[in-house]
Amino acid sequence: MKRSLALFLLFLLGMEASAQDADTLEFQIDEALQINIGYRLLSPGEMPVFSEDPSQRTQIPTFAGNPVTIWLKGTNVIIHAVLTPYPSSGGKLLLLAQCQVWYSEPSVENEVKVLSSYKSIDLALGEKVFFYPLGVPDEMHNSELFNIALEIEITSYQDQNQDR
Amino acid sequence: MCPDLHTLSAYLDGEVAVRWAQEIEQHLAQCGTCRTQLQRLTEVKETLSRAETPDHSLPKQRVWTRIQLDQEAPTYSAAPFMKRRVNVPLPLAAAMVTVLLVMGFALAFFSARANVGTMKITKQPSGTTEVLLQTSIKEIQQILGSLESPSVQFGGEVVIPLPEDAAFIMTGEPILTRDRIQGWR
Repeated sequence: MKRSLALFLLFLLGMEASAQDADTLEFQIDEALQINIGYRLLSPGEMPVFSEDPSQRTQIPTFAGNPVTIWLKGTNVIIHAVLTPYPSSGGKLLLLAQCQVWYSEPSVENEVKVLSSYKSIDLALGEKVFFYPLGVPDEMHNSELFNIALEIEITSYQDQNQDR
Repeated sequence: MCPDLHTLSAYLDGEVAVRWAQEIEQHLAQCGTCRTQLQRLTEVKETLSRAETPDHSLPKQRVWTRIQLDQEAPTYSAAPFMKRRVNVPLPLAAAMVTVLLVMGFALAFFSARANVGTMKITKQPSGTTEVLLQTSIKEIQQILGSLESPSVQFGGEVVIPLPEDAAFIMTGEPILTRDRIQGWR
């Protein structure tokens, strides 16, 4: 009786362990996300209109809690944005955007300023949000300087990659 | 030729064949040395026959007593481990099985929960957001590394080059918003 009981328990534990491994991997793939990023360089007076063509967007697969880093490198500005999606209540996501901007003003030589910020927003899967790392000028049309807008959309990785 | 001492001793004890005994008798009649040897052997034999026999009754009795005690004492031998029979009452056995099953399922449940990890997000009154993660980044990275498709790289970073002839300026704090900025012209 003891031997039978021991064999039964070993069988039960082995079955549970193998099922758990498979379930874990499946669970991780099911939970994988994809961050679609479109960016627009806004010339003076231009509205931030983003292309709907997915091929013109950067698509980065990730998981909740796994950060995606975006570097935007120009002549007088370097933007380092870390986007991290987290699961939130009600099936939504919380997007954390940690951003550092190094920039030098054209009128001031030999001076570099750094601005570090931390922003968050709730969003649903497929919902688009917009990130302006350099802020938004009040009078864009009067400025001769460019601005940057990022369109960020988080989708399910599986939904976006059914053909793979 | 004279018989040796062992042959003479055997002759004295009557242990040689009749034909050899007649030969030895004829030799003894002619050889004084052998007669002297035979005489010494005869004296030794008589001396030994007169000596008292030692009393072995007491040690003999002790040996037999010990043998009897060993035979009467119960003997124990260990049964092989896997062939031992253990009598466990049925309710106790059922309770043991139930406890083991519950422990097994609890172990599996908590192991599964440990793999998934937990997360707690708290928005502070000051406006900051506290994110408490209770999962192992190493574990996530291992799972990421085990994904079959090598062309898919999860996470990571993207570098977007900006035009060289464009100059940028900070016009305020970064904004993360759900809506397009209205009136931005």
